[in-house]
Amino acid sequence: MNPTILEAKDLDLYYGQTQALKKVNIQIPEREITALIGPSGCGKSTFLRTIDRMNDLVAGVRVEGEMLYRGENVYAPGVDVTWLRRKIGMVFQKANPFPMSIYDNIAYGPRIHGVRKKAELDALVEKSLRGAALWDEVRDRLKKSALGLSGGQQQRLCIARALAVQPDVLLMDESTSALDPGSTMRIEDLMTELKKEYTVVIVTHNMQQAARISDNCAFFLLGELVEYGSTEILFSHPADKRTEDYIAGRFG
Amino acid sequence: MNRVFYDGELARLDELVQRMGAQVLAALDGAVAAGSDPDRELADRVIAGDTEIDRMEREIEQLCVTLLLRQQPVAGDLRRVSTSLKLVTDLERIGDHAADIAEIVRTLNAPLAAPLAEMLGIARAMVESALRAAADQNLEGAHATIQRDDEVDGAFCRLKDGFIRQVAAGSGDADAILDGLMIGKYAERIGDHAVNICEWVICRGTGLYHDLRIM
Repeated sequence: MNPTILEAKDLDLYYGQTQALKKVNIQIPEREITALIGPSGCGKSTFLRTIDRMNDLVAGVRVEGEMLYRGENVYAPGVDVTWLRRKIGMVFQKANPFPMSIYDNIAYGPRIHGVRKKAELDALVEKSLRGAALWDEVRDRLKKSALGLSGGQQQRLCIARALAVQPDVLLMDESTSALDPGSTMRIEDLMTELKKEYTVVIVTHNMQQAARISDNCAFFLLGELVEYGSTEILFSHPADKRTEDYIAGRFG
Repeated sequence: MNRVFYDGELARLDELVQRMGAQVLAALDGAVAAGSDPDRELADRVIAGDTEIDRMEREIEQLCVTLLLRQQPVAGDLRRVSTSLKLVTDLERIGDHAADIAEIVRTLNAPLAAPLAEMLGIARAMVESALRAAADQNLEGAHATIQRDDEVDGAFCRLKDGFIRQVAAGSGDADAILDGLMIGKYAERIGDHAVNICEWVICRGTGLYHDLRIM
C-alpha cells in the first residue's frame, strides 16, 4: 500500500436528524484506486462527497470527526474550499459538459484560476485531453460544441476538465453507470492509467467493475464502514458475512 | 428473495459432483470385485463405464463455466465453483485408474493377492471419505482423509519390497509381479487423487491451498 493521502477519523455526518455516516475510520492510499461499494442509501456517495466538501451545499448537514487530506482536516476553519476542490476533483454519474466548445470546457477551470496566456491554455487543454484519452478523437474539432460528443466521450471530457486544474485526487461517483460496455472499458483503462499520477476514489454499484479495477475496496452498510481492505481479498474471502452477502447479491 | 435460480444451479453443481463421485466409487468397486473373483465381463463393464464418467466431468465443467460466465460468482460462490472445476479432474483420474485396473484384472486367472486387495480397500475408503467431506463441506473430515495417505504409501512400499525380494530370489512369475506393481501404483495414485479432492474441499472452505492463499 502506498502512503495515506486521505484519512477519515471518527467521521459522523448528519442530514438533519438522520445520521448518514457513523464513526467512519479509513485510510486511503495515494496513487491507487479505492472503490466504495454498498447498497443504495448506505452512505458511500455521502462519504465521497465529504472528501471535497460537496455536502456543504446540502441544507442541514452537520459533520463531526475529521477528514484529513495530506494530514490537514478539510473541515478545519479557514480551509479554502475552492482550493480544496481544485486539488480534489469530482466526476459525476451523468456527464455534464458545459454548453460551450470542447476547448472552452477544458479551459474553463484554468481560466478561473487565472491562466490567461493562450499558449499556456493550449498546452493545458491538449495535456488534459490526452490524459483523458480523448485528444485523438477531438483534436480536429476543439471549437465544436461539447454537446455533440457521444456519452462516453462527454464523460471523458468531464475527466479531462477535472484534470485541467491539475488535481491530486479524482473522485468518481458512478461515472460509468450510464455508458455502454465499450465506453465503460475505455474509462476503466483510463482510471488505471490515471492512478500512476492521481489518487482515484470511485463509487460503484457494479461489483465486477470494483473487482476489475480497484486496488482497495470499502463496503458501507447503513452508514457504517463494515469492511475495508485489498480488493482481491474482499472479493474472494471477505471477513464479514454481510460483505459476502452483499457482493454475492443476497441482499440489496 | 434474491438468487433463487443461482442458488438452484449451485445446488445442482454439488449434486452432479456427488453423482459423479458415486459413479467413480462404483467403478472402483467393480474393478476390485472383478479382480478378487476373476470376472472378465465385469471388468469389461467397468472399462466401458469410463465413458459415462468422462461425460459427467464434461457436464460439470460446462456448468461451472456457465456459472462463471453468467453469474460471475464471488467469495464463497467463487470458491465453490472454481474448486468444483478442479476437483472433478481428480475424480475423473480416479475413474481412469479404476478402468486401468480393470484392464489388468481382465487378463488375470488368479484372484488379487491379499496385500493388493487391502491397499485398494484403503484407497477406496479414502475416496469415499473425501467425497463425504466434499458433500458436508467437512474440513476435519478432509484433514483426516489426507492423513490416511501415509497408509497407502506404506502399503505400496511394502508391496514393492515384496516384489523386489521375489525378483532377487528368482522366484515368482514376471507377469504377475509387473501386474501387481502396476495395480499397486494405481492404488497409490488413487490415494493421491483423494488427497487432492480433500485439498480442494479445504480450499473451498478457507481459500487456502497448501497454506497458500489463492482465493
